[in-house]
Amino acid sequence: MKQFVDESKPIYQQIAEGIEDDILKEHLKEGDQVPSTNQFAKHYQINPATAAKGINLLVDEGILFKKRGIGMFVAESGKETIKEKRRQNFYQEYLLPLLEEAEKLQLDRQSLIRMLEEGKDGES
Amino acid sequence: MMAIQMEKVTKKYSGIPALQDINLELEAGKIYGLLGRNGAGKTTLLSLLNTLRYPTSGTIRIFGEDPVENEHILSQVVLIREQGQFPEDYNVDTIIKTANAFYPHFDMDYAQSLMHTFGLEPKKRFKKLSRGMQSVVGIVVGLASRAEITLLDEPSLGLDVVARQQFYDLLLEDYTDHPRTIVFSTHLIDEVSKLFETVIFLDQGRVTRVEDAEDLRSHALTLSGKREDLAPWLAGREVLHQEAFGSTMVATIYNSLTPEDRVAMEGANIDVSGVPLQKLFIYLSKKALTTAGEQASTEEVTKL
Repeated sequence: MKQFVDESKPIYQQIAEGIEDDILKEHLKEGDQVPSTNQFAKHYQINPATAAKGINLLVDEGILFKKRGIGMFVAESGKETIKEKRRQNFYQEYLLPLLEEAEKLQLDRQSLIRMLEEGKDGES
Repeated sequence: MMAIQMEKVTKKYSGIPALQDINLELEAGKIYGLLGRNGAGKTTLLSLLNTLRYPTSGTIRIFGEDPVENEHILSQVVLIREQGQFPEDYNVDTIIKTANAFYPHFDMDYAQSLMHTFGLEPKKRFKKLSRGMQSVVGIVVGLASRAEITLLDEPSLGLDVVARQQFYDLLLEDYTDHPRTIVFSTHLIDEVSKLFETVIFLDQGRVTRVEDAEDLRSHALTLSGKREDLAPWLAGREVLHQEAFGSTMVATIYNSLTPEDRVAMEGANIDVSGVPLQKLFIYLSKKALTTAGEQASTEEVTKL
């Protein structure tokens, strides 16, 4: 998870996205306990209510679940849920900006496809 | 349970209003940021709450009770002021012991550990301390009192950046362990804005806005794009600030955007970004000045 929050978007969203990233990268696995609201608050120097809002967002989406009196845990299908959600946003958030930048630079589709194929094996 | 209720509160000094018609309800257990320019009435507002001063008219209730000469209530309210708080000739130790005698939840061990953390010498007389160390005395009393209502008026004045950071860490840590109502006024807005749950804007003696800090972050947005592309998006929205930069127009709005709006804006090559609270504060203050038709020099405004 990144170490700082910024002003680019609401902090609770950044907290939620940070936890999601950790789940996708398997720093947090299914059934793992996530840090508590207070731990998030202290670590990021944010109001605990803000941290709670971010965590609750993921509880509402079924990515985390609450064990009463113990804490928050990653749900069994948590990773899949995040992947599904992010796939839906992939075009909007990643492809669209890419196409816009390509247009500014007058890169045609062929060059883009070539770059994708060359980059696929880890070479640029 | 409402921790603090102010109804139609007005405070005048020799007939000149410092606060006008304040209506506020603060919930227990939250951290509030009190923001306003010099002379906006922040200190006056806070001193009414611990009855250091009395309102000219209106009613104040703390946990549902009138705080005036109410020992039971006042022992739950601590106010740390910028200055004039402690007897100049007392040494630090005596000041801490006096606070310990007054506040029922005062934690002496915690006070000692705070003094140690900040390097505050217990035998030194208050007037011999540097400005920063005088602030530390306030911080120690403010935190260790563990008062249900903790009012901090510019608590970090004169502290260097390291000590300030230390103070924010300690405040947050102690707040999570011992939740209480905190009202925090400051000029260093961006440093502490992440600690606030709710922000109160005070301007020329009036409360102009009370907003959830996260709503402020999601509603206050800076849009930039080509003038003609941007213009249609500004119609019907609350525009706080607007400036042209070459063929580009930059505008800060206070409205939430729907996901559809965002997609459409992206299509129109309009960039959307967040606004730091301090910047937002400046825009709101300037806007208030313009609407009030006041002749403030731009120099004064930008000094903030």
